[in-house]
Amino acid sequence: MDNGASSYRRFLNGDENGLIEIIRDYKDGLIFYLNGIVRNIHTAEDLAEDTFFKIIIKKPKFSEKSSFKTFLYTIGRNIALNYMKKNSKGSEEFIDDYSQLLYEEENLEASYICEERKILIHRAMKKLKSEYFQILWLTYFEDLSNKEASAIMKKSVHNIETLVYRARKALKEELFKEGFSYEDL
Amino acid sequence: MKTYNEMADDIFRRRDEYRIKQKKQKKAAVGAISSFMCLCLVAAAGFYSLSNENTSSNINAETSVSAENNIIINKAEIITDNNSRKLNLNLYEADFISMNKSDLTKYYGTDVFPDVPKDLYDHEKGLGYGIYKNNKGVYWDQNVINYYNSDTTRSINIELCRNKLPFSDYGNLDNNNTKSIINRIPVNIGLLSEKMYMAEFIYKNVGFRIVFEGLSQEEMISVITSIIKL
Repeated sequence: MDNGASSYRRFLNGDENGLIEIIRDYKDGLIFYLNGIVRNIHTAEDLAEDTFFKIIIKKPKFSEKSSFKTFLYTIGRNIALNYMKKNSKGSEEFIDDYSQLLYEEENLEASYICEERKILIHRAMKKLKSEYFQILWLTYFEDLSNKEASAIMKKSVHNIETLVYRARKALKEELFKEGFSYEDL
Repeated sequence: MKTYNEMADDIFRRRDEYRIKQKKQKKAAVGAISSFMCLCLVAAAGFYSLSNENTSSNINAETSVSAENNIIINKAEIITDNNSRKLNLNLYEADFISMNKSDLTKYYGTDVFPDVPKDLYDHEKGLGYGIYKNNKGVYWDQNVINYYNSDTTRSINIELCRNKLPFSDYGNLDNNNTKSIINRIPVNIGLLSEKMYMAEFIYKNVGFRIVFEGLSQEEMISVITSIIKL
């Protein structure tokens, strides 16, 4: 499915439509992934935009050893972590417009995730700690392999396997609390 | 939430703004560097001018103002047995201090080797220059620089010494002649014979007498201006 690589090659060769295609295909997934880090859908959207902006300005080399999604999410994650470092003191500023955030996130969920059962899982995932959310998002929603997820999250494959196991366990407990059975989903 | 088109538009707009900003910064940096270089050049020029002021008062006027050349060709007289001059000076070999081109330029305090037409070249190859000096000091510093073409139909013969015109045993120019002005320096130019010019002048306290054979007037002026620099 990963046409991102060819779109990126076209963009590097001067075709701006290549970047538009990348934004179209990867924007929403990237926002959700970054939302798992910063826990604010607006900030995640800004950071996703920053990710694409970085690509357009710096034109980083894509080796094609990994998938384009891995390449893109790695850049996005670095940008999000930098953002977190700079803004580690205040997240209260977002509390006031929480209902607006929730509304927009639900809309995005509906358009991107589509399947009802996945939406339920996604909502439960948001209650997990950031690392669990990230690994579940990458492996369950983005269909990335453990190896690809390890490249994005800068962890060894062994660590990722452990993280996936623990994240699933935590998700199971969260769903159980809300009256769902993990196996049913 | 933005649609992908809105986000793409925003990103391209940001890119354009970024590029404009980069260009402005680049321009500002280049401007700053240029200003700094200009300042350095002005300072260097000022320093050069001040340092030259100490060695010769003539130079100030020569270097600070550009001038249009005014060429007047007088008549020169070839020295014969009837009007020959005598040097009345003994040059002792033991007093001779040999010099190369670089030494000579240093001694006279100005570049005495002109730019010459391409077919002419220095036969001495920089050898044989020098001054005569005894325990009382330099008593003879007249040197000769010769350039010829391959069949010697064209030549430049330069005689020079410090503080006065060099002794001449070949041609004579009347000192009362109307002088040409080349780069604000008076130059006495005369025609010795057909296509044979002679020029005398003092520049930076060095006296020059140059005989041009087979050279056009333009070539002659070009050689002189390569010595008398603005």
